[in-house]
Amino acid sequence: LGNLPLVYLYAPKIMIKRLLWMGLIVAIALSCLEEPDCVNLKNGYIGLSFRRLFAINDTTLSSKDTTLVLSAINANNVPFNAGANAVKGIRIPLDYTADSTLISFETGGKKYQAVFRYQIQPQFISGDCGSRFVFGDLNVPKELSSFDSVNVINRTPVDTLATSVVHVHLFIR
Amino acid sequence: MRFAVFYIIFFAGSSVLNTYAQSQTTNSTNAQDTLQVDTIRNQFLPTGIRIGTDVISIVKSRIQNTFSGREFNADIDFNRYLLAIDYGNWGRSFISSNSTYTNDGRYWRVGAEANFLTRDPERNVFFLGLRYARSNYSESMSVISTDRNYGDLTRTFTSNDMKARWFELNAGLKVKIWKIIWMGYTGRLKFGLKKDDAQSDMLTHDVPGYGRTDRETAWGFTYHLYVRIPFRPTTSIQPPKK
Repeated sequence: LGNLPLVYLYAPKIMIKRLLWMGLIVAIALSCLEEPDCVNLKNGYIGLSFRRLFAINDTTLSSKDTTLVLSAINANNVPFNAGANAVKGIRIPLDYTADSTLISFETGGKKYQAVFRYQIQPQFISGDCGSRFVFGDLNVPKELSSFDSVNVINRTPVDTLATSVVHVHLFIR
Repeated sequence: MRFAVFYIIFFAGSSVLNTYAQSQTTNSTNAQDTLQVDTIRNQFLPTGIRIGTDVISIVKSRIQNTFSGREFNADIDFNRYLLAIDYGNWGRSFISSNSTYTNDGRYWRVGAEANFLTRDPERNVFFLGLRYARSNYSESMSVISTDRNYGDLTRTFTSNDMKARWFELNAGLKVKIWKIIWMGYTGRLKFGLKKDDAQSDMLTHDVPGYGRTDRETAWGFTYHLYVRIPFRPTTSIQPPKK
C-alpha cells in the first residue's frame, strides 16, 4: 500500500490547513475592495420655478415678464450666469459656508427676496476624493420671504446644475 | 447579491467540511470503548473557553499608517452552540488634498454560533453565526475648500460620543493547531447599520468595527490566534456513526 494509509490519516488535517490559507488569501483580497467614486461631491443645487398667483390655466410666468432677473445672492453680486430662461425658472447653488442663502429678484421695478434655509453636513469620502458637503432639509421661512407665496415641493437639493428638478415654487401676483 | 455570495461560500465550505467530519467519524471509531453516555445536562456543560486576538488588525496597525486597532475574541461552547464575544478598538486617519480626517472608538459584538462539525472528537469548529454589535466613537475633520461662487471655507468639524449599531452574519473556522493553540478565521457580512449622526456636526465616514458607511452592507474578515483553556475532556458532540 505504500504511503496510502498515512495520506488517508493526514488528508483531513491538510485540507483544514488549506482552508486556513484560503481564508488568508480571501482576507487579502477583501482588503483591496473598491474605493468610492469621486463624482458629485456637493449636492447644493436647487431648482426654482416662478409662478403667477391666482392664474387660472397656466400659472407659469409668460414671456412678457422677462424683466424678472436674479439680482443678488447673499447681498453680493450675482456670482454666476442666471441663464436665458430665468423667467420661468432658475437653478442656483446654495452657500456651503453657511446654513442659509439669501436670494433677491427684481421684476417691473419691484424687488423680491427669499431666505433658503437648509441643513449642511460635511462628510469625508476617501483619501483620493477628500470631503463632500451634504445638503438637506430645505425650507423657506414665510417671515423671511417677500414673495406672495412660497411652496417647497422637494427638500433635498441635487448634485448638478444640469437638472430639471424643481424644489421651490415662488409665486408673485 | 451580497447575501447570495455569502451563502454560496458558506455552503461550498460546508460540503467540504461534511466530508471531513465523516472521515473523522471513521477515524474515531477506535475510541468507542472510552465513550461515556452523557446526560442532557452534561452535554450542555462547557468544555472550555477560547480567548484570542485578530492577527490582521495587528499586522494592519504595523504596516498601514492610516489604521490603528486591536480586537480580542472569546467564545465558550454549550454542546454544538457557542457564545461568542468580541471587543476591539480602532482609529483611522486620512489626509487628502482638501481635508484631514481622524476617528477613534471602541466596539463590541455578542452572538451565537452553531458548530457543524458535530462528530469531531477535537471539537474543531465550522460555524454559522449571528451577532449584534455596537460602537462608540468620535471623529474630527478639517476642511480647506474653495468655491468660485462662495469663496473659501476653512473649518474643523467634530463629533463626539457618537453611537452606532449593526448586525452581522458570520461564517468561519476554528481549528486546533497544537495543544492549546488554535487558529481560525471569520467572514462577516455586516448589515442594518444605524447611526445617530443626523443632527451632528458632520456625517460619519467610518464606524469602528463596521467600516465605511457609504454602503448598506459591508464585508469584514478577521483571522484569529486563540488559546483554549479546557474545563474538562472533550469528546465529539454527537457519537460517531456505527
